[in-house]
Amino acid sequence: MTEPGPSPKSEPQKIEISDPIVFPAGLPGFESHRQFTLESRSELRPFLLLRSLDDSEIALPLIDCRLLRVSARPELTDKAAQLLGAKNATEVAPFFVLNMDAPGGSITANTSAPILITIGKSRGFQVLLDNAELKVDEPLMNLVPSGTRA
Amino acid sequence: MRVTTNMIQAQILDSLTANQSRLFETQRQISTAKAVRTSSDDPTRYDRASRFKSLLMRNDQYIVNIEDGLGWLNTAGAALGSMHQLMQQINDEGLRSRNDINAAARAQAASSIESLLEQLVTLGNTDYSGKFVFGGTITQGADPFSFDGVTVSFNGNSKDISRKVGENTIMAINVTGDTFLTALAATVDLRDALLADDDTAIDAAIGAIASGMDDILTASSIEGSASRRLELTKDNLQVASINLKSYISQAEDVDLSEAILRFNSQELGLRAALESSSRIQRISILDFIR
Repeated sequence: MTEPGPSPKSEPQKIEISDPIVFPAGLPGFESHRQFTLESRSELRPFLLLRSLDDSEIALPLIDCRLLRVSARPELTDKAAQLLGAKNATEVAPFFVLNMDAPGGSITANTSAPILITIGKSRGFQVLLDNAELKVDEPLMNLVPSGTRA
Repeated sequence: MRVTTNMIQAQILDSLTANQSRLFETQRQISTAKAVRTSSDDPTRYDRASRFKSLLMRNDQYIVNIEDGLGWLNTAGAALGSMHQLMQQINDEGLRSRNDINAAARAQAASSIESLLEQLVTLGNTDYSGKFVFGGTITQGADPFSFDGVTVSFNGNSKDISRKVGENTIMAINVTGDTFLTALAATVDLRDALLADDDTAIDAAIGAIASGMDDILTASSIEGSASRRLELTKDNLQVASINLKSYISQAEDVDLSEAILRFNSQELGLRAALESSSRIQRISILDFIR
């Protein structure tokens, strides 16, 4: 019988890294960077880091929209579907890009342009949603489901 | 001791204030505790952060340029829309008068058309922030369009006004008046033909009016497509800016994980207090008389 491994609490720096995710169209602002990984660090959960494989210092903090009180799965345009290699929106996981240092010191999410990553195909694309109600700087606190807070 | 609603509310308020104070303090620390303050702290990281900050500033400038360009184009688009409506009225007046063989009635129609022509000239001299939108690069001084009672003149040029909207992207933000000068000239011709009671000239002028309307539609289409390109570029720049800010926000923070943990913990307390407040505030006397 094998000894049980150390508990998660004893591994505060545990890091999980996804397979490389290809962004065929690049990311706005980082157009020359095409390959990224999703990095999950135990001390940053539920936040993730989308880290460039072209320059490991380049990383964007993200949060999985499915944890939040939003519906961020857009209808896929032909272009998005082609870039993502996805047939429909259910095949992609949406993530919001976070600003950890927004004016006023809060953490905000860009809900108007989620990053979509095709599950199982490791392809990514940042899509700009055509919805005037979505904000580029939505306070993250506003998106947290109240049920998980009580 | 009797616990009144006021006491409960006061207690909640104290709790909220305390939680908010702690939250603001953490937020202040997050926003001020930067790992990279100067180039000597970490030269490589400082250079990279500076480079992306410069990129961010350039993006912001491009967005300002685009908004200025959209102001020009939207102003021009609105004027062209009004011009097309006026031309439609002129066309209708011409067709009505063509079927009216009364010279006096045609003279009256000519007068109406001249009045509409003056409105067209005024629209041709539309300005945005004090600069003529249809004058080409001649944006100030004499009006781009003038009407001396005999002919309409265009005093501008056909040169583009451009804005830099990307590292290697320069876009024209204007439509020049010469592209629809024919519409105004045709209007003068129609007025003159009606005054001359000349059926052949009226027919020719009505044909030219139709062609002039097409020219205005073409100008509108150029304006519309330039506006859409600018809007698209602006959207992309805004997403890029948000991404750059996101990168800078995490690259500069001294201890992101600790800040997040504290933020989460205090946010949790604040949210709990708010929800507790919300639940208690909903209780009223009606809850007790069931």
